Amino acid sequence: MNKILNIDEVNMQATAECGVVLEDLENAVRKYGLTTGHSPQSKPIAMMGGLVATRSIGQFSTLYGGIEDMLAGVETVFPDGQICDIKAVPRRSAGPDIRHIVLGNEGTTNFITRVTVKLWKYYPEYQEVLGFTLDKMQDGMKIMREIMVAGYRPSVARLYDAEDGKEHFSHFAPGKCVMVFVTEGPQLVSHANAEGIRAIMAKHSECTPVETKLIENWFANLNWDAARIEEERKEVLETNNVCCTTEISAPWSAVEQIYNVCKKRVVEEIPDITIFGAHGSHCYSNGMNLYFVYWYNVVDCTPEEEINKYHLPIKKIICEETIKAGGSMCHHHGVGKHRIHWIDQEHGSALPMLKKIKAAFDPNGIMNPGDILPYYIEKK
Amino acid sequence: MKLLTCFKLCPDMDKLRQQDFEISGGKGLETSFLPNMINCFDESGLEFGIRLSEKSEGLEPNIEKTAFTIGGDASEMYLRTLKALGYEHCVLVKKDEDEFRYSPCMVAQTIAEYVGENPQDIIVMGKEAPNGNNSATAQLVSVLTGRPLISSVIDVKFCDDGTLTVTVTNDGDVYEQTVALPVVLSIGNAVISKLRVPTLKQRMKCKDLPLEHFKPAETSCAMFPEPMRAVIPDRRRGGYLSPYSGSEAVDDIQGKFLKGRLGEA
Ligand SMILES: Cc1cc2nc3c(=O)[nH]c(=O)nc-3n(C[C@H](O)[C@H](O)[C@H](O)COP(=O)(O)OP(=O)(O)OC[C@H]3O[C@@H](n4cnc5c(N)ncnc54)[C@H](O)[C@@H]3O)c2cc1C
Repeated sequence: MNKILNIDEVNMQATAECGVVLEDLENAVRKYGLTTGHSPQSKPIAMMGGLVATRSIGQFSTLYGGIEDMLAGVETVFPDGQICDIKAVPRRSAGPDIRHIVLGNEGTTNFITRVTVKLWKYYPEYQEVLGFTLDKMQDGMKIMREIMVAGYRPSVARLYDAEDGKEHFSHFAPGKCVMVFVTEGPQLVSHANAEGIRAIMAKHSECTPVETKLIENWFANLNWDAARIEEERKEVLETNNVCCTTEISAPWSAVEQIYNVCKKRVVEEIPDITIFGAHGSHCYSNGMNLYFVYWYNVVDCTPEEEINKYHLPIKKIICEETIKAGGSMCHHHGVGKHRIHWIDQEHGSALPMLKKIKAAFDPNGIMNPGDILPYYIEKK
Repeated sequence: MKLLTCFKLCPDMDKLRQQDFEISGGKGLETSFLPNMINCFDESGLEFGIRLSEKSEGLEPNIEKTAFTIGGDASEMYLRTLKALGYEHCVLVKKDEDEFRYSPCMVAQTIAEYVGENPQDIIVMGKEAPNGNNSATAQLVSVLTGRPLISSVIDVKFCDDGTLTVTVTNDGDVYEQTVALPVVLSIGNAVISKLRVPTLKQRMKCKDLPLEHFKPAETSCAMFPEPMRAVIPDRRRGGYLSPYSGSEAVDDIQGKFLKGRLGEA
């Protein structure tokens, strides 16, 4: 199931089987001067079915949205053998939007076989890249809000704190936070967005512009292919230094608090932390995500104990503090098996809806058991 | 016992895209916009230094470690990391890269001068670095300090009697030798390639500790000439010819690839 079935230039959508790697689809549509607009870091490895099943999001999300905004139609199979083809239309109001039973199901209720996504015209020649340094992450969050609320739509809007930025920007911004914007689209639109952002940034004397080439080079090296994942594994084996991430989303009013509390608590409470940083990589008019990136040395414990000594205690702090402050514990990596412990807190009074969906579509519990809903909640 | 590990920062060439190949100042590739990293051979050397000193703990005398680099402001962050990892002395010789990029001789003279003032038993260096790439520095340090050099070292172990067991590769062979000190080791494709990572707490503890600065006497060295001019040669292309008949392949090679180069004749 790895064939691109159709690239429809009139209706601006492409249909692919679930096993098509996103990068292959993107390269195919680029030949027509088009783009899917989807560019997660895992673009060279992630497949169309997986991207829909996990509710993925790409680096250009502030303009193109997440996969939920791109998915026009989808074919999926339920565990009783029922094949459902949700047709691709611009919009409809024929009852609840059933695409959302498919999106983000993580293989727990249905198996996606075919995906139709929207396409956009690709204008690389009008892309503008902007970079700035500043001292405080909290200031960066306020400026991000200002830009989003003013109505500008860069495709990329990212903010790194100094710790996380160290991995990426220490050659030009040691000890500094970094903000990155990319604008794109037709020339007038792209330029207007870039000018608008420049004007807002110019008002903030705490921000210093960065040479574009530095940001462009960094951005060109951001994606991960299979070789890079393998390289990281080898490095972990040698150094015992493990990197994990947890990404959350929060309304503007809560994002600062979540950042401050998580940083303080993890650094104080978890042993052997070597880096604890965060960046915001997806911004909305009503809030942003925080992508916590942390590294720890695995000390005095066996590989199977690592998850309980480091991984879950860190996740617990981040997930619980986020939910307490009114955010969501999963911005774009789905629930998987690591975040099921807090799924009831995440959904609160809406949890029964999730349970009913699972019970209705997978009554025998054969689809990816233990994912999204832990067994003890599913059966309660 | 004293151990000196010399390292240099170099640009992460893996992050240079072909479309960004550009000659800067007529002498080499423009790399100023690339992230920097510790030269990979030096990184092994720095980790070996820590492992050797761990091995010597409790023994008399144990190892006192110095990390030494010649470079710009960017080096400070790396020296602080090494401080957090237990290097007792972290020494910076401040110089712009342009001043020494093509002068292994000057680098070696500076190291030798430091060693003259701060005697060392083991000097650990990397085999080569991508920018410069001449494998000369360790050899020159060996000559200037009058110590034997063991090159292509892939493993080092500390023995109880104060000697070192050094594993070396040579033309595909691997052998071990026991060496007395003092010695210069030049690290090749080592078993250990990564430097461990300090915890945040270790880093915080060393945040404000001063780095040491070393000012060498004016050195001059004409042993290695500076490159006069660098150019990027025309791009060479490679590819497969899909299997079709021999005569079609010949026509293709002639028409598409050779004609332009050999002229019409
Ligand atoms: C280095 C790296 C960078 C990443 N960057 C991003 C990023 O920027 N943005 C982002 O959103 N995510 C990112 N991810 C996460 C990953 O890209 C997404 O989870 C992706 O959507 C997974 O796709 P996949 O094909 O690899 O799915 P898999 O990993 O194979 O599967 C993931 C889940 O989806 C289910 N699934 C897979 N295919 C189907 C199907 N056809 N039908 C039903 N269920 C299915 C599986 O059962 C599983 O639960 C990153 C991951 C890595 C390793």
